[in-house]
Amino acid sequence: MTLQRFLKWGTLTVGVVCLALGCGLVGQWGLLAAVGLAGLAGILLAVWSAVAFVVLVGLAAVGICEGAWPILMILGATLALASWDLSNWEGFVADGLPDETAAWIEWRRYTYLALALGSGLLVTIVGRLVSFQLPFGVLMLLAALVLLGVDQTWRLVKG
Amino acid sequence: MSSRALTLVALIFALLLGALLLHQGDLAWMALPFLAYLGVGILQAPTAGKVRLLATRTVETHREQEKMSVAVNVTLSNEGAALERLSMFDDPRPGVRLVDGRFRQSAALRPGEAAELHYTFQTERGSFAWETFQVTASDPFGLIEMRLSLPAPAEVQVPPELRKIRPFPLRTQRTLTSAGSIPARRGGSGTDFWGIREYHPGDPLRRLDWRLTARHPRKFFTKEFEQEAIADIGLILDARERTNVQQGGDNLFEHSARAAASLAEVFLRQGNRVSLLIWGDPVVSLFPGYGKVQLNRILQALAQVAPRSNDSLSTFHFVPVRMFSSNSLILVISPLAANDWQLFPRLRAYGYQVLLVSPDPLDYARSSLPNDQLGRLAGRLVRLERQLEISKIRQLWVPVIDWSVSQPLAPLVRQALIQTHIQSKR
Repeated sequence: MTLQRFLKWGTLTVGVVCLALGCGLVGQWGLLAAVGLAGLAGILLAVWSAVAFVVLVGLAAVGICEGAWPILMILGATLALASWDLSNWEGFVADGLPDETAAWIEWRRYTYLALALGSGLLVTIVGRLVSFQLPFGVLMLLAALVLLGVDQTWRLVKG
Repeated sequence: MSSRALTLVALIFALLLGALLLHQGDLAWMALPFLAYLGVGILQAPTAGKVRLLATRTVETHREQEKMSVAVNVTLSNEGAALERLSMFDDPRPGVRLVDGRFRQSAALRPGEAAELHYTFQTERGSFAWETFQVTASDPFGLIEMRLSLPAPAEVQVPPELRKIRPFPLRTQRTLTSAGSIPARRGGSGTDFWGIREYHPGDPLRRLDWRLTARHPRKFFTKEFEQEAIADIGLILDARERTNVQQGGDNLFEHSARAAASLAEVFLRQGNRVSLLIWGDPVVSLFPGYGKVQLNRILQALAQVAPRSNDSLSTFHFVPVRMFSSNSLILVISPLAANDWQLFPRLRAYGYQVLLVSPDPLDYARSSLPNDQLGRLAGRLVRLERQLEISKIRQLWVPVIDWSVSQPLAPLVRQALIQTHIQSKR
């Protein structure tokens, strides 16, 4: 098994385990079964589509609403994203990418992924540990700022 | 923006919206790693100023058995910053079969590096032109894409396969003045004895008929030989969609085009003047010409033609028959449709010698016809209709080759050309 496959299946498996554990700890057996099924379908059918990724993130969100431990749910969803990304990477490599080029770019790609998701997770965990109260209006304002920021960045890239 | 980026943005929005509506801060936290992932993608996305790519395309052709292989090689050079995710692709051509390589390929290029896309496809005939080469450059995650159409022009024409045919013994009504291989029915400097006439000053002395001269004192006689000259030959190729029959990946028109190419080649090899009219959309007319230049023109025209439907060209009513020199030998290559026989009285009225080569569409499509009672009845009706059309043409003393395309054409043409001798006497 190549490293990229190992990472793809590894992240998927760990992500599904995290989500299942989170649901199991609060006794959400229906949710646990759904997570298990989605994960199993992803592994057995070897089809890791956007639909499966969205389903797992959706289940993680439902799990949070049902009282599952948020860190496990967030970790599970992030690993599902990593697996989806690695699946896409596998398709890119399989599309005739020369071996020497793949060797050059592979580690750079893993580094980018680890940095992006690692930093995102770190900020999330730190943010959850350092808790402070924000009025709902301020939260709304922050969300609007984020949306505006994304929109501006997108315009910049497009331009 | 790729579909992946859209999925991600939709998820982030959904999570943030859910967080706001359900007062669940953890949902907003869940969106953060996704935002970081999207942010890295946006920051790493290639910008117009950074991407400097150059594409060069080379095309080579070589014939393998009946089909022509076209090898396309595109080299993509990076003259700008490193690009970690590139996708190169060429649009597949319709009606071709890929035998090697691929139309799409991934690449990653450091500054100064080059990547190649190579593929080989097989085709029987056709004209292929490329203007651009498609490249998609994106960030390492494939979220933000930039599509580029790089100029990489190339053109290749695949003429129909030429089958070498032995020269035909032609006998036309009228020949041209240049020396050739067709007996011209007039005295001159040929090889076959033609007659004797009175000596004219300037006749070569070695042609004097001394025996006759001896019998007629004070008179000289010269032997004449039959001149051999070249002839004018016109080809009419039917390229109408309505007479074409598609059979899997093959079609009847390909056989007609191949026959036209082979006949043009043999007539030009014999030194004759050949013209071509392709009755299709568009109508292509090549005026009479000689030699290899004309052969190349004909092959190029045949490479580009494809059977197309056009209502104004659906019948032979408006075929510009006067483009052919008077008294030419006209070969019509057509599977025939209803009322197509009406072309032939016109051709005969203008004094042309005519020969019809008609690829049999019914025989060609035999394997795909239904074998039930209704199918057999329909087949018989079509056969009758075709025979009626052919018999109308035969009544005009036009030799008809009812050509089953699996049979070699040359012996049939050779036999039919003998009949055109009879036609020329009428």
